[in-house]
Amino acid sequence: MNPVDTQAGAATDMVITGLGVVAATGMSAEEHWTALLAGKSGIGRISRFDPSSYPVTLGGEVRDFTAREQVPRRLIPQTDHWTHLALYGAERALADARIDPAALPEFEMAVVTSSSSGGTEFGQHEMERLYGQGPAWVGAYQSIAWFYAATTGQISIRHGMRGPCGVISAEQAGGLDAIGQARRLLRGESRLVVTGGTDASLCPYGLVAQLSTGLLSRVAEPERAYLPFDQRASGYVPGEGGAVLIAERAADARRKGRGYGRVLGYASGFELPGRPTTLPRTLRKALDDARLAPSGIDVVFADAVGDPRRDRVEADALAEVFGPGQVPVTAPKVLSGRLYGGGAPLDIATALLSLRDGVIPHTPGVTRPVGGIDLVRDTPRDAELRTALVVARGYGGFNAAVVLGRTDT
Amino acid sequence: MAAFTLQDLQRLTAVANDEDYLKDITEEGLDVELADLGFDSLALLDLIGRVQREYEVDLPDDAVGTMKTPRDFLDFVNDRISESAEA
Repeated sequence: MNPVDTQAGAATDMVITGLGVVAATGMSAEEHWTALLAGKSGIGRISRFDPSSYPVTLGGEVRDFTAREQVPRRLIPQTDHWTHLALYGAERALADARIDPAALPEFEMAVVTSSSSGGTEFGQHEMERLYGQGPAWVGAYQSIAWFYAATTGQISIRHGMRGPCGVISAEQAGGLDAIGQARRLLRGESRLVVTGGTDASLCPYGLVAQLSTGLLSRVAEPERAYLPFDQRASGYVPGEGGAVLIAERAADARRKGRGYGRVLGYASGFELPGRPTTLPRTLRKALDDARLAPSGIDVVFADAVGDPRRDRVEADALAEVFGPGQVPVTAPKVLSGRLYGGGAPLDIATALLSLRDGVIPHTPGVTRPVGGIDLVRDTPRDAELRTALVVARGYGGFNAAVVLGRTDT
Repeated sequence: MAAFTLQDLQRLTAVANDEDYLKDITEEGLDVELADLGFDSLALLDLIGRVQREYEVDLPDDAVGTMKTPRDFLDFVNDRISESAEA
């Protein structure tokens, strides 16, 4: 066996044992999964503020979330909405994995989340006070609420997790990079990593920041606004939330008889503007890391940004690596909206539930798919699923891929 | 300007303490360490901000380092109020 094989062998050491979903499609993994299979959308007119004067009026809001019911009261005025969602998700994920942090060594529990927006709503409120009333009116908690690592820090403090902590900001790809970093930590001294992440930027400041990319859909009808891989694609709908995931070593998960699935492979890459895409290379590297041939992948959860040109690049990359139409591809994220740092973790949760139940959720709304890929449309598709590939491409050039497998693979 | 009293401090703390994590500041507890009452450095900065805004008195950020107890807090604010009255 050569050293590369030894390294790849270590790749099968991470299992996701807990899911904490908080998205427009549901406040738990099961609620989210039920909504996807029913094709039930969480997209609607933005209600957190009046969007009538903005070119984008739709969003995937987590309407059932009430901070006063789901977050310790002390933390509500000290943290942003995006952190509130993650604190709730972390609590649910830990309970789902039946983890009692107080019973574990504090320095062996790590926290690595993904965040691409930071605390925009909190920040907007404080900026309004700064410009409206003066510097003395900016609250002390702005210093800790806005920045990307705030969610990781608050989860770490709340659950007494004093192992390595970090945050990854790579837009949509960051959620998969967080998984990659969690795997590195599990190979070291950490026995448990709280990972995944959320984002929540459906405030005027957050929305305007997103508009600058030109990738948001301006269509106002929820069922027509986000149609990736469709010839009518017009951009994507932004959403809020994501998923917090508990990652443990395979040996620990096996001993407890728990786990949704293994992380078999991970790779990341970067695309320079005006240069050929590196996406096929990233996909192949993830497959190599998992020691799988393309034919070993049973379903692909695509990035599916909904921009015709970018969708074409992704479809071509999938066709190049897997062969045209050789693997089912889906993007149920059209029901929750695109969640930035929280998006790929939610896709990971969805893919794990898909592996568990042997069913591929469909991509509702697409009626005129682009060529080259077998897009699962109209209804969920039953299939024998052993492995799944999750693809993420972040604005700015980031890309990443994760290969998941059933715990018995 | 009027003096900054224990009642003022109690009222402002109550506003900041909607979450009910700070212990009550009492006459008997004027010499208890603020940290033991639940104030970390940010909670103290937050309280200083509220005093500055409501009483229109300048309190430097590094004041946090000199305030160990509620009595220190009252003394510090009142010294600043006297200074600005003399100026």
